[in-house]
Amino acid sequence: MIGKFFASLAGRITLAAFLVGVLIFGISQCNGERSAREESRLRQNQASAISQSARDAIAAEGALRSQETFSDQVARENADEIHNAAGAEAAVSPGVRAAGVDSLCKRAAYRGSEQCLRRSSAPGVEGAGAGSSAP
Amino acid sequence: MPGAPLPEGDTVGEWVAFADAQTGQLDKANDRIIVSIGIIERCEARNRDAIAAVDHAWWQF
Repeated sequence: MIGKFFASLAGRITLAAFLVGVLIFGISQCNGERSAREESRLRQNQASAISQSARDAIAAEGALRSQETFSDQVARENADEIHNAAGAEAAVSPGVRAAGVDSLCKRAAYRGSEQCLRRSSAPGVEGAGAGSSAP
Repeated sequence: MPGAPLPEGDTVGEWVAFADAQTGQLDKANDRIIVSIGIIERCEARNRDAIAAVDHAWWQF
């Protein structure tokens, strides 16, 4: 009876449809497991990458601080050499000095500085400390 | 990064030292940018590697 059914065209179609269904189900199950495995592995990899990046950032920050400390030390040594050089005590002309300070006071870095605020509030000094914003 | 302190005096030495100190501040600002970009680039590369290590062709089980 069953043998006759599967020997018929309808039986063969039914059998083929069943096999295709089993195949699709098997592949989807396999893909689902693979996706879960991949997701888990991706999370592990990314967690490891984040951990490495955090260590990297801390090390880089530490190296940068050391470099800045060294740079400040160089600035102090340079200042000593400059102040001890011949002619270091020569006076800058008052006009050039005032123009220099006024120029610096137009910069965003110095706009709020005490010296610039003093100058901008002093009588006869206009515009100092009121420069446009730095980009 | 703040600028170097403005020179209070009016001697050549103070102004030259100010120029040097300002250059030092510029160096520090540039270093901070380079280090920051390096940290971000390496972080992004690690994330890309983490994803690439899992990615494979659709037909691979």
